[in-house]
Amino acid sequence: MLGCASCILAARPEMAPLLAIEGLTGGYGRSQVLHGVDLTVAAGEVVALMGRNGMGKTTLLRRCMGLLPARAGNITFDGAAITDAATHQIVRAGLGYVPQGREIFDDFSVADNLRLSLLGRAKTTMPAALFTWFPLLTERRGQRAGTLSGGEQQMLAIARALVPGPRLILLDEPSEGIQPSLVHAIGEQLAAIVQATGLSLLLVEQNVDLVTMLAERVAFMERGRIVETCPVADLAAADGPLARHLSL
Amino acid sequence: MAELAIIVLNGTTTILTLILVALGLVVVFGMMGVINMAHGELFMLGAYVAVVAEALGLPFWLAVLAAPLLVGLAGFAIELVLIRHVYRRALDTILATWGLSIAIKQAVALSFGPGAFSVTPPIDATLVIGGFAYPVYRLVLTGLALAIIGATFWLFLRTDFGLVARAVIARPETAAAQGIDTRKVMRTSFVLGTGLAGLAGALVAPLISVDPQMGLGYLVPAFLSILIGGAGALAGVLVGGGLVGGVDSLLTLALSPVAAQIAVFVLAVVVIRLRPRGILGGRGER
Repeated sequence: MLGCASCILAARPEMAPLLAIEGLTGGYGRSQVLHGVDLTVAAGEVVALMGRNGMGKTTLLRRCMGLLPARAGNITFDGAAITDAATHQIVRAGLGYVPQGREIFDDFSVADNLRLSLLGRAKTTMPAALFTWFPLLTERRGQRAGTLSGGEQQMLAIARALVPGPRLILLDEPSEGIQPSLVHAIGEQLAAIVQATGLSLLLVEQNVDLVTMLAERVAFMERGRIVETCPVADLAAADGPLARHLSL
Repeated sequence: MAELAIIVLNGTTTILTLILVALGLVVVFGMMGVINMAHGELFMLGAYVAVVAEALGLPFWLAVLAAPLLVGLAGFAIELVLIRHVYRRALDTILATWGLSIAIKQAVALSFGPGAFSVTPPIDATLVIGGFAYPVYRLVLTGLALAIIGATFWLFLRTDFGLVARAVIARPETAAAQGIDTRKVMRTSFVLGTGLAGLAGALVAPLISVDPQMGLGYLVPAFLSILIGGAGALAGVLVGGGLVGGVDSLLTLALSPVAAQIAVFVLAVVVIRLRPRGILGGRGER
């Protein structure tokens, strides 16, 4: 294994991890995709997860959210085991999720997409800053979400995850299918939100610029395992982890 | 003129009765995607609630209140034991609910016998229109059907529960990732759909012959109404029910019930050939 296990906690040695994944396995049906994943994310930390397609990044996020059945391994969030918890319980514990492809409700208005995250919960109001972070969504509140552009839909998907006030959001390829200028704008917005709220992010991303803009640490995944973790600064090295794991 | 008024009233009652029967199926099949072959038997159970109430000397309107509750309770048990294991597995759902429909029919035949029952209409009065006597209960049923259809649309399109239910039905995983307990919502929606079938059964019972085999006769036109109107769009049942009920009542009067049934099937084939997702399929709310 390249990199070192000590790197995993090196970024925030003073803190207990907010999310801790140990020896996690998982997959679809009989196909096993995750082969013992170990990863931590500290409170307020942004960790990027990189790797080639099909290495298990999305599967790992889906497994963390309870969208795939538990096999072996443990997931703890803020000290509590969530390995076998139902998805809605995991969300209510403070974990948010922005899925790959955004998966907004096309036929619902922007406002209803956001409102869904509050229904059936004790919290009944949106975070006051939400529409400051995403002013565009204020203008489009009544618009059918399916008519928004890809970048606007991504903003909606992120805003939707922010509504219940999570402590950590799992973001799956937020730059996918979005024009570069909007990717940069989304990155800046996310950086501002992390700065303002202390939110943690576990970011699956192929866009190196976005990773560099947001992350403090990068974990590389190959064949269902974390094979290296490093500070984001190491990505700049010509023969560094990007060359080793992504041939970039 | 009076004859035309009677034809229009009869046609309206037929259409609204069909929509009422199909309404529960719209929720369970059209929106949730559960091909419930036992929907006709749940409708039949609702009618038997009215039969039992009459045999016990209880008021008909008590049966109308009890039927959705009792059949909804049966729906709760069916969802818990059977349906929740086969969500999004179409073939398994068909087989499981087909078996269930046979079991319900046989259980009712064993309990009440294979013969038919009739239920006395709760309102005996008739309205005289140009020399023709028209049963007031049919008019009341028309009004109640409109109110129930309106209430169901309001529930699914205008309330928080409806928003959550439509979200869970459209994208269950995304809804769960927004903190929604999808199991609870699916179960509630299924119970609502079965309760509506029971309510329709009790309300329609005074107009029909109640027997263990009656379900199939209502299941087929209900499915056709949803397929023609567009599964997935709640409003599709209005279009589909209107077309199926309208063609059926007009051609039954003009030609024969057999010709009417053939015409309905031809209509279904043509619509599905031209618009595979139904007339309103692919747009509108879901």
